[in-house]
Amino acid sequence: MDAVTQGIGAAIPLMERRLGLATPFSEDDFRHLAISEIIKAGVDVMRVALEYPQSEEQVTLEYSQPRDLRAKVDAVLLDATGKPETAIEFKYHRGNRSGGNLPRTMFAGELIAEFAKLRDFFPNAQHVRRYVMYLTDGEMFRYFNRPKNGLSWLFSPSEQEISDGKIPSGPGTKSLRKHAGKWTFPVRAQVAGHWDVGNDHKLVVWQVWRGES
Amino acid sequence: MDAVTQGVGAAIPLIERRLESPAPLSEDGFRYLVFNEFLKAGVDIMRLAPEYPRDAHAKGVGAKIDIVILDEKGAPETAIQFKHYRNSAAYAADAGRLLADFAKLRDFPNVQRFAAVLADGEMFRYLSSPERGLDRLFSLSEQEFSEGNIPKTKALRDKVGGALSSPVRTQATGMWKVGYDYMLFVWRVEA
Repeated sequence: MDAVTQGIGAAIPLMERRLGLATPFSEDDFRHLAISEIIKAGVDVMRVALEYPQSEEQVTLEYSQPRDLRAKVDAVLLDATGKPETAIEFKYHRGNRSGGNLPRTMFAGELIAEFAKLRDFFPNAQHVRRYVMYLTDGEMFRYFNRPKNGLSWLFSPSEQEISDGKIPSGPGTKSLRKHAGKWTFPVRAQVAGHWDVGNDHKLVVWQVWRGES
Repeated sequence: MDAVTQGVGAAIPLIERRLESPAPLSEDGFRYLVFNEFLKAGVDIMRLAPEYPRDAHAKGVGAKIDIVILDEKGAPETAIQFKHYRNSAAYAADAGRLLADFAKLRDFPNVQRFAAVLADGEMFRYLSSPERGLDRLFSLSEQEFSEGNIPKTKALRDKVGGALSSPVRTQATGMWKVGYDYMLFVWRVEA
């Protein structure tokens, strides 16, 4: 088991405890708990880079230009030479505390966009391992599981291709499509693990690959 | 020395190593290195809450506090804002954002409040230049900032907005040179 999978597994009891407290739980909480456990699993903190630029060119620009507001990858684990070795995107969706309606199609689009972001991360670096980590509550999980919403295949244990043709289209999907990013190029993904995290939450981790299977 | 200033200071060797590495250090990366030092110092990870809501109604940019340390009952005890200035193209606006962060901390009630800032040499030279009117930020004595005594630069005031209509008091609690050309500061912030 690699340090990423080991770390995320070890973070589950911490997530359970935090989700059980009255304290608000944020996506950054999720990321910090996971990263701290990945470090405990043996990754040097020096090898963890948060909000890492999407390409070699953008890395160079970081040192020469004003703050770059383009999308960054949530966490990157670097190799001994400081180059990206693993890229991780974190996403956390939960119900409204007020009990109002969730923007479920928008949330679904945001999850799909995480795969696009990893696909576009250092596109020529085939060796980079890519993971999407998704923590959500029962409401979103039930949304994804409903076949009529057209995304249950994403949670299949078998490898899936994510492409424009597989992303739901038609009535009621405008917001999903708007938030799903550009899908000119497909990507492959497979559920690497999923866990119940208490408090009606589930955690799903996908490994993501660029290129043909 | 208070535990926050100590934790930020303890992160310096890691910050220096990261600043020398080919991988850029982001503001979130800076914040995580300090978070990591709090863990090493024995703070229970359950008590560290990043992106903590400032209040139940605040939304959008500025609605969250970067890190809140909770007490044993889960109530906010300490609030910390982080800034990392590098390759700034808008020094005055960035200085305005720092003053707005002070005001944001001031408005978070019943906690100890700190701002931790990592700034490259250019930003530090801007902030510490007497003609910019903000060099007293680095005074060893307590300072008060309000609408009436901050620089009149438009870009700075645009970022502050009306946040300093009531004053905020700051006291530098830590100041370090970091690496080749960076400075790291911690201020305690009071209403």
